[in-house]
Order: sequence, then structure tokens, then C-alpha cells
Amino acid sequence: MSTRHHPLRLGQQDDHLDLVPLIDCVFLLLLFFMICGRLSTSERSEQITVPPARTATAVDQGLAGWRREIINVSARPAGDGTRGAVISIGATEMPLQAGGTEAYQRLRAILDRIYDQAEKYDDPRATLVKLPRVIVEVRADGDADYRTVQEVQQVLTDSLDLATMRPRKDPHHGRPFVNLDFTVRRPADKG
Amino acid sequence: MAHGAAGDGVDAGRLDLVPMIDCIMLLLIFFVMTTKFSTEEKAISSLLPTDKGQSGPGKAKDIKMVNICIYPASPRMVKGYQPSEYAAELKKLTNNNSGLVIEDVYMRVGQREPIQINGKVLTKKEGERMVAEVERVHQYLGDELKKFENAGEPRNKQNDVVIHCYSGLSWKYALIAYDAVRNYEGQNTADGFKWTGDPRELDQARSVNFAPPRIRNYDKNELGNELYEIIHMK
Repeated sequence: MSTRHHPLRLGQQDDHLDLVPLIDCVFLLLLFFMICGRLSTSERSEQITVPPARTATAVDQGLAGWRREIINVSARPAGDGTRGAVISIGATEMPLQAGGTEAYQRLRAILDRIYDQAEKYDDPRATLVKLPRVIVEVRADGDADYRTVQEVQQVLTDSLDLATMRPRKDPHHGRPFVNLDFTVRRPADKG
Repeated sequence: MAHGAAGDGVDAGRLDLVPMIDCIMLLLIFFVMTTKFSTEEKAISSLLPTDKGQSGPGKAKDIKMVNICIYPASPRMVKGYQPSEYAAELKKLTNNNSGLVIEDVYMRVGQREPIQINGKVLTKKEGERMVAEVERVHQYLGDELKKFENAGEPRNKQNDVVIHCYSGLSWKYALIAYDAVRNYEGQNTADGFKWTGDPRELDQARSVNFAPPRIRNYDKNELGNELYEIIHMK
């Protein structure tokens, strides 16, 4: 009897594909991506090849009382064959024009708003300046021109009069950001 | 009726899995598209100066500094030439200022002998060669910084370190110097500075800064002047 029933059962199964192995695989894939992947946030989604550094430490996202702001400096070829750069903070992208200061002025305007909203503390170096509890993370491409990163630091410390690009005469009345993290990778990191 | 009910959802004792598979596939596509596999980002902290342009009481006029100079490597990028000659050499190195990136640089502490760094090696794909090049720079700067130690002084009373990098080079060269100084401070000193994450702790560490820009008009003559200053820095 059983030998006669067996071919019949096989024939019935042909009408209904067995989906259980497929569901197993799809569930495993889903779990893998959910656990191992990280949702990209806008500031870090930009692919930048940061330089290597041995003293690199993991970025502490949750330092109590401190905010983090991310400035990306990416190296992009300018149209004339030279190296250009794009500075971005949040969703605002500021391409650097040769000899232009507009990008720095726009960056400073954004930084001013962040400074005004941030909690402050007295500068321990007794300069009478109120410093914001903000850590600025500079994600600069290792191949970006040094002069771009140099100017971004000047804009951060608010030591420039951006109309003339000369040092400010009243450095103690600015809105400086002094706590910086340069994003790097360990030399041995593969990613 | 009985046949209709079976056809809607349950067919001979089987659950209709198609809607569930649809949902799972959609979820899977969402996660595949939106997730990014990247190594956890790391950082190296820095405390920028707030006293730029400060003068008057409280600021010593004769602050001793250890200068780290970084500039393009070439037999003519040595002391003894005029700014116009450095500008001409720079033009040659950058293929007539066509944007060619300078990859070989000199790094020098004070007036000591420089080392030559190969920037092409400082990329991810170089792997072990990059690790070795970073190690070589750390070794050089560590050895040189030892010679400028103020014995018995705490780390934040040691001579300030200022990094002077030619503005047209890549950021990675200045950063590798900064990294080497921090590494020296943390590991090679008896009372090495240990960073716990609070930005204000850097006040207890030695001051390491990047020199502000020397020029903002990047024409040939100004670049020559900048190189002249960096190459002749003591």
C-alpha cells in the first residue's frame, strides 16, 4: 500500500513549492543585515578616506553634556585639473572656489548659530572667552589640501575677520570652537 | 462555501506564506540598501588655541617652541635658495602647477636632518608598507622630541610643538606629525598624558598646534615665500 501512495504524495507536492527553506534563508539574511549593518546618518555617509593615525581612539558619542558637530572636508577635483574641496556641515555643502571666501563665511554663519544654542563654560586658559560644550569632528580627506583644513581651523577658532581674511583685532570677542576631533583610522584597519 | 474559504487562505492545511514573503523581501531590500558596512570611526583629539593675537600681561614673549617643518622633497628644497628659486622648483614638481600632487615630502624637527616620507605609501591599499612608514615617522619624531625635553617639567610645561606644513601638501602629512607627537607624549614619557575622552583634559597635555596660514594669495611668488619661510625655520 505504502509503495502505491508514495508517488501520489510526491505528485501533490509539485503543485505547492516548499517555501520553508527559502523563508529560512531570507530570515537569516534579514537578521544579518539588521544586526551587522548600521544605518548611515547624513553627516557620516559621505565616503571620505581619512588619514591613518596610531593614537586614534573610538569616537565617544555619548560624552555627557557635550554635543558633537561634524564637518566634512572632501577632496574633489576642480574643473581646471587642480584639487578642489567641498566643506559640508549637516546638510549644507559649501564648494570652495579658488581664492574665494564665501564657503568659509557660510561655515562661520552656521557655527555662530551652533555657538548661540550651545551650553557654555569658561575658558580654563583665562582668556575671558566662553567656550561651547561642543566637540567639532573634522572628517577631512587625507588627500585634501592642507590649506583647506588650516583655514577651517581658523574659522573654528573665530580668529579671522572673514571680510578681509586677516586675523581679528579682538580675539576675545569671538565665538571660538576649540575642542576638535580629527577623524582618522588606525593604520592596520582594513575597512 | 467550504471550498471558497479554503481557497482564500488555507489550502488543505497549508498557510498562505506569500504575503509574509513579500513583506520580508521588502524589509530585506530596505536593509540591504540603507545599511553601510564601515569600520567604527576613530578620532584624534585636539585643543585649538584661543589666544591668537593676544598680547599684554600673561603671555610670555619668548615662548620656546619645537617646530616641525613639512615641505616638498627635492634636492633644491634645502636652505640657501631665494623664494623665486623655490617657486620655480615647485612649478617643476607640480608639472607646471597643473595640480599634480606632491607625494614625496621632507619632515624636519628644528634644524635637524629631515627624513623623506613617501606619501604614496600612506594609503589603505599599501597595508604593511603603510604601517611601517607610519612607524618610521613616529620613531623619527619621538627620537627628535627626546632631545628637546625639559627635564622635570610636567607635560603641559614642555615646549609647545608647532607643525608648519607647506599649504599645498595633503592634510595627511600634517596629521601624521600631530599623531606622532601625541604618541610620544602618551607612551614615551614617564608621566605620559593619558586621554580619557573629556576634551578639557587636553589642557594638562603638551600644546601641539598647526601653524596658522602664512599666505592667502596662492600665486607663484607667495608660494615661494611660504616655502622659504618653512625651509629656513629654526
